[in-house]
Amino acid sequence: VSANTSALAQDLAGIVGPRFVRSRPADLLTFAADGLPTHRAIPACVVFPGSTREVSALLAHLHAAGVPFVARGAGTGLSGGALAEAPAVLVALTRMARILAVDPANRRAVVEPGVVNATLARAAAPHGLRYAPDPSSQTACTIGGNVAENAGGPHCLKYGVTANHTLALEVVLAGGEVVRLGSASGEPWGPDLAGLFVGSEGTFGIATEITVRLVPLPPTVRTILADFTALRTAGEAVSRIIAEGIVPAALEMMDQSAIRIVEASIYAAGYPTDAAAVLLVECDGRAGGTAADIARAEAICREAGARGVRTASSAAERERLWQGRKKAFGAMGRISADLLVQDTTVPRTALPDVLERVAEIGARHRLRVTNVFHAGDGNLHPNLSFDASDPEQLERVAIASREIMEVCVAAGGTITGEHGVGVDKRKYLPLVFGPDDLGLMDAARGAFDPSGRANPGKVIPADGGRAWGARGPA
Amino acid sequence: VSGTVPAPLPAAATAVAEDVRRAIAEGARLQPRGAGTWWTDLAPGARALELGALNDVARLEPADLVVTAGAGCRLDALAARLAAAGVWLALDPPGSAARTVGSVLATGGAGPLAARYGAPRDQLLGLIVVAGNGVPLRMGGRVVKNVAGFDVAKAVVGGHGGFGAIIEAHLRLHAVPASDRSLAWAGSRRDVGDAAARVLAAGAAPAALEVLGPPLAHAVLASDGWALLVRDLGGTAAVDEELAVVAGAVGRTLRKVDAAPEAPWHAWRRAVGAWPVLLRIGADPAAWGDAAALARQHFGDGLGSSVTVPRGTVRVGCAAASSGTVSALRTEAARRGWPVVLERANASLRAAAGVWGALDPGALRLTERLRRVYDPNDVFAVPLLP
Repeated sequence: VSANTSALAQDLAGIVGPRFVRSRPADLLTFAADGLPTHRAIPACVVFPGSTREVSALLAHLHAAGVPFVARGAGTGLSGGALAEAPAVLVALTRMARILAVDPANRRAVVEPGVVNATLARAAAPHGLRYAPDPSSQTACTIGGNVAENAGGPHCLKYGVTANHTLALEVVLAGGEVVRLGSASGEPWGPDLAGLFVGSEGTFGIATEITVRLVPLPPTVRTILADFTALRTAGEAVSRIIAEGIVPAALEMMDQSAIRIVEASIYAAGYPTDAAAVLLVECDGRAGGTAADIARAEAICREAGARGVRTASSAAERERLWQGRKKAFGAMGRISADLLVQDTTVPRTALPDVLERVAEIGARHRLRVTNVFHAGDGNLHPNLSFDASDPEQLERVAIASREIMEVCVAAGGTITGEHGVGVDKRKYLPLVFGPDDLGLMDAARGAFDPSGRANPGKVIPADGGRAWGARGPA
Repeated sequence: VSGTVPAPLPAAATAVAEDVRRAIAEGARLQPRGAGTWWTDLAPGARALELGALNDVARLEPADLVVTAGAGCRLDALAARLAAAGVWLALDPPGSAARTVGSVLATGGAGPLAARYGAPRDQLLGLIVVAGNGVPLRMGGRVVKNVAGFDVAKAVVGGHGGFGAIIEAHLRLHAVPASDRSLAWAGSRRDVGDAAARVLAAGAAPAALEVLGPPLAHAVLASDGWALLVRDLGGTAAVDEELAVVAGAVGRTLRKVDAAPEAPWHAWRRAVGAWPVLLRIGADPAAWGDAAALARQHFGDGLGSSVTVPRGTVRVGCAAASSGTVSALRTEAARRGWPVVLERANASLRAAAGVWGALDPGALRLTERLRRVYDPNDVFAVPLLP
C-alpha cells in the first residue's frame, strides 16, 4: 500500500468511519473481479458509504484529489463494469440497502442502491405487487447495479427491462453534487435524464435513491416445458408464439449441453437429457386468459415439432422447472474452471440460423458452447467453458467471442442485450456504431461527468469515437 | 463475416444533415416539422426543417414485431400498413391522425394506452437523428433488448426537436389482438375518482384506464358529468376477465354508458388534440384529483381534462393561457414533485413559458449541458426552457 493510497484511505475513513474502508491487499483481492472471468483489477481501496451524504462527501473529496472511482453493487455483473484499477477507488454500495418506501396506492417503491432485487420483490408481494425485472442473479444482484446495467431477466419479455420500471433517481455526480432525475410519476421535468442514466454503467455518477414502478402480481401463472429434438424447430416455435400475439411472461430456451449440465447437478429439474433443446414457456394473468394462452403455446410447440410438453401442475413443480433454468449458470461452474457468459440480441426470426452458426463457431474453436437464454426477446447467452489459466484457451475464447458478435450483428442484432459493455465489449461497439455515434455518447457522458472520473475506461472504446462538438459550415 | 461495419445511414439522413449544415453556414435557425398539425406555427425567426416527405416504411418485419418508419410517416397511414400485416403500434397520442411518427416521438406524449404500453420512449428501439452540428447519427438498434452503449435516444424522444431532428425510427410492434373492448361509466367527480381507485386496488391492469372531465366526457361519450373510460386488448378470454374485474370494482355507483370498441378513443384523440393550449402534469397516480384541482385553480374549467390514472398523467386544455399562469401552476406543482410540460401552445406562449419549467438547479444544469452536446451550433429554434 503506497503512502498516497494510505493517506487517501485515511481521508476516506474520516468520511465513512474506519470500519468502512478496506485497503489491505488481501481484502482488495476480494474485489478484484466481478462476474466476468477474463479480467481482474485491484482498486486502491474499497469504501462503503452508508448514506447519500457520505457518497457526496466521498466523491467531492475524490474530485478535489483528482482520483477516479467505480461504483459497485453485488459484483455480479458480467461485463467487467465494476472493476476498478488503482488509483481508482471502489465505492461499494452494499450498506445502502434500505427499502425506503413501498407505496401500493401509487404502485411504486423507493429504495437505496444496495437493495437486493429479490428482497424488493419480496417486500412488494404482501401488497399484491412485484418488481418485474428479474435477472438470473436476482437473489444477489442489487437494484443500483440493475440501474447501471439496464438489467433484464426472463420476465422482461412481457414486463420490460429496468429502464421501463425506473421512474426517478437521486444521483451523486462525480464532483459530489446531488441531483434528482425524473419524477416519481415517470414524467420527466425536461429531457429524460433518468432514462439516459439507466444503462450508463456507472460512468454518469452514482444512483443513491431509486424510485421504481411495481406491477400487480398475476393471479394465475402457468408454466410448460416443451421438449424438441432440434434447436431449429425450438427456435421456430419461439417466433411463432410471438408472432401469434401471445405475450408469454417468459419464453426461455436451453440447449442439450445446458440440459445435461443441469441434470447432472444438484439443481436437476427433470429435463429430458436426450432433447436437443427445451423451451420453458410461462404465461400469467387471469385464469381464463392464461389457460387459453398456455394451451395455444403448447399447440404451437407441438405443431413446430415438440416431442413432448410437460405442464407444471403445482407451484412446487413450477419452481423446479425454473430452478434448472435459473441455476444453470451455477451448474455450469462444475464443468470447467471458468465460464464466459456471452450476451447478444438478434431478431427473433434469426434465432435458428444464428444458433447454428454459434454452434459451428464453438466446434471450430474446440470450445464447449452452452446456450441458456431469453428466446422470446432474441437475447442469446452462448456460454463458453474454458480454463483462464491457459493462455491458448483464452485466445480461442476471444476469437470465438468476436465471431459470435459478428454473426449476431450481421443478422441485424447487437452486441449486448442486458449485460452491458463494461470492459469486455468496448472493442465490439464499433460493430454497431460509427465514430460519430460514439462521439456523441462520449459527449453525453461528459455532460454528467466532465472530468471523466466516474468508472473510467468503460463502455466507449478509447479510440472509437470521433471528437464531438460544433462544426463549421459544410 | 469479418469486417462487419455499422449499418449504413439512410440517404435521407445525409440529405437532412446537408440542410442543417447549410443553415449553420447561413446563420439560420431551424424548427423540425412533420405534417405541421401539432405545432402549427414556427418560432420567430426560424425556418422549417421539413421532414414530412420522409414517409417511407423502410422495413417492416411482422414476425419480429419491428418496423422502421421515416419521421414523416403519418400515424394513420402507418397504422393501415401495419394492420395489413397483422401488427400494430401502441401509440395513441392526442391530435390529428395525420400526425407523424417524428412528431409523436419528439413531443414524447403518450395517449391512454400508456397505462399498459408506456410512453413513446417505451415503444422506441432505435433512431436515426441529425444533431445540431449537422452530423447524422445512429442511436439504439432494431432489436427489442439492447444495452450497447449509452441510451442517447432518450434525450431526443420528448426533446421537441431541440435535441436533433428525427429522420427514422425503429419501433416495437404488437400482434393485432383478438379482442378490443371498451367500457364506460359516468358520474360525479368524486364517484368516478373513487371507482378508479377501486379498480387499481382490485389489481386490475387494463390497457387504458382514463378519467375524463365533463366537457371532454361529453365530446367523447355524449355523457354528462365525469366519465371513466376503460379499454382492454388481448385474447378474448383475457379481455373479458379483465373487464369483468374492472366492472366489479366500479360497482353500481356510476351510470353505465355505451362505448364502442374504438370510436371513443378516436374521439378522445381528436378532442384533446383540438385544445390550443395543452398542459401535461406528471402527478402521483393516487393524487390525480389534487392535480386536476390545482390546474382548475389556475385555468378555470378550461376546455377539459383527462387523466391516465395508472400513470398519474393529468392533461388539461384551454383556449389560451398566459406564461404567468403556466409558470404559477408549475411552481405549485413542483412543490408536490409534479412536472408540467407545455405539450401544445402557439409559438409566442412556447417562447414565453418554455416547453419545460420549474426544473431544480441540478437538473437544469444537466439539461443545458446536454442541449449544448446535442445541438452545439444552437441551430434548433425550440424554446425548451422559459
